[in-house]
Amino acid sequence: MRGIPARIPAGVQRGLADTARATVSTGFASLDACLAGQGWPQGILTEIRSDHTGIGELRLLMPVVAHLSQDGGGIIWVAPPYRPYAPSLVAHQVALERVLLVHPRTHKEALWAVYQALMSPGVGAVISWFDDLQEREFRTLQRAAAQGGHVAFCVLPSGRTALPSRLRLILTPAADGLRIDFARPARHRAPITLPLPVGGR
Amino acid sequence: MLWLAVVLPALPLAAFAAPPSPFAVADGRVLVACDAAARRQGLTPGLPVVQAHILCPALCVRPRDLPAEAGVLDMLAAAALRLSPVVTLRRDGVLVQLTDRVTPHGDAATLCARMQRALRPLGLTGQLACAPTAEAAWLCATAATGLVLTRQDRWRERLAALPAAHLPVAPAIQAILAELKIETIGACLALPRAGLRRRFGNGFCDLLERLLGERPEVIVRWQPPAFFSRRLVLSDPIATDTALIFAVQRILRELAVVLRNRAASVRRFRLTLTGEDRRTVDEEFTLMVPARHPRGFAGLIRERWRDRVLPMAVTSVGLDCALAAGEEGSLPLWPSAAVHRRDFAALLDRFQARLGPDAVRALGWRADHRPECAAIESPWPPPPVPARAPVSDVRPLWLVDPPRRLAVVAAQPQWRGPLVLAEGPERIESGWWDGGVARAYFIACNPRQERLWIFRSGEHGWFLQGYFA
Repeated sequence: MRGIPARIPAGVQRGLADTARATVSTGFASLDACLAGQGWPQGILTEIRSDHTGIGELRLLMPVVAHLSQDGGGIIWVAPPYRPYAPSLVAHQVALERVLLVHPRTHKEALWAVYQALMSPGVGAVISWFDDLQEREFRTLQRAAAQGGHVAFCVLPSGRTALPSRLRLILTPAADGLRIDFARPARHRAPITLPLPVGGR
Repeated sequence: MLWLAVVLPALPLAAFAAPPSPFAVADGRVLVACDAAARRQGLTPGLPVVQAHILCPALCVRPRDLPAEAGVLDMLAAAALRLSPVVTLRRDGVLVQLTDRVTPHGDAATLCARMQRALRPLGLTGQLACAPTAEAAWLCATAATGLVLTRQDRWRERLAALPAAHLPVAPAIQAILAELKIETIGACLALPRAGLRRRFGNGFCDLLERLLGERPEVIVRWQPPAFFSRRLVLSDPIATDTALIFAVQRILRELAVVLRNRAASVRRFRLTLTGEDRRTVDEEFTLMVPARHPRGFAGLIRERWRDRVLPMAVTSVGLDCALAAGEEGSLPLWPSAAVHRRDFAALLDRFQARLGPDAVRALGWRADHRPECAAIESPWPPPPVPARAPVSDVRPLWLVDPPRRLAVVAAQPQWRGPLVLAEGPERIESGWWDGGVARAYFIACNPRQERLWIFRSGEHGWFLQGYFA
């Protein structure tokens, strides 16, 4: 086993070494400051864990969705749990004609749809909702995301299978907004709280 | 050379299947055609619709259907194609080029009779005429003279004897001709051309010259719509989708060649599978943008069968599609918006092929105060939205439709715990024309600090309408 250095730098072994990567600003300066590359990474499936509905989990994504849709990229929502209220999306400056909802019937179809969307050019962002994801399934989607290079999110309830994601946010409500914990990458980064007014704009 | 003209005087009526009687077709505010029952009541084309309704209260008037009329003309042209390969469309009929020799099909009179017989099964009544020039044939047919003139006859004299009122010219010119006591076409033809050209313009003289065959005709040949249809009989029945794709690839390679040679494109195609028991299964595929190369077709077919098994052992595979004219154009050097649109359309095709056409939805909105009516979710492509921005009241991002009834404990609505009303009420009363709602909306908060949009609807109780996600 010659040639292998005695001490492998942390991160290389796990394939987590940071590389210069394209990002898209989140639209929140305090959140940008906490993310590597100052924004949502492109080519990484960002895992969002939340057990709550109605705490601002969608308002968190609205600036990036608005920005990408105005640039002409398709915004693909796979298996959204409720119907997005179109006038509110318009109020958040989202270009409605770029928004595409996909309603798969089964988990397998949902995985397929996310995979296709992640790999397809002409797409700006892919947002998907799952009840649960197996590690193997997540790795497949993560590979597709890396290949397609889009901004991608998968929203999951917390406390299920641990996934090998490269960026995981845990969302919980706070008295003055939305509290975001950075679970992965495991750096000692303090959680932040974003004030998200319900009105939009 | 000989021309057979078929004029459909009642083309606007023929565009409607099984119309009531009396029936008339209007273009704007004026009748353009009316049936026999309406004529008996004194209606004529050119009558204002209002007057027609007064004359005949039972009259049924429909607006003119130009696409359907074009379809009727195509049907007529297809029937005429049996007589001759040269068929050209006019506004309300067709012209067919025949030879003036006696053919195995018979002479001109026989061919006229054959055409007349061919009209009956199509449900059309036409006026036919035959003449050595297209313009003369058209004039004789429009005037319902029923003349069959050939070069062997003294056709110029017969034409000259026709009244000048049959000439398809502007009413102003007709009036002058009547004033000058020019009663026949022959009298027109006898006048010096230079003077006629000065007085009536070039169009009139060109018409006379075309009547006599002194001026060449411009013919646009009608072509039947192009189809691609191939059926492949398999030596061994196949039961797997992999084998099916293999068979389809052979047909697709042929289609690629046809599309390239004809510079055509495909909008939709149909795959027909025939089983051992002679059962057939049809699968329709529709593409978002017309394809000029069947590159992704195999992929679409594979997606359609991915989660299903073939219903039977397949013994033959067929593929049919209509070929449309392909748009010219080349791909840009750098990825541009056009390339992205095409890629996005291909993604939609894949989604619809596997998940079904209803699984892919677009969002739109309407100016309506009722939330469930304001937000529309419809199959792709997106519906047109109003030009002005929606009202910027505080609205949630998730809409719960239909609204969910909330349990009430001690006069307090519950949703994962008792709800505290944070803002409100906002009254929304609207839609008296279809059901109607009268609701008081509140922004509520539950112990989990989720912000909800709820409403109270009179005596019906509390409902959850949305989440401020």
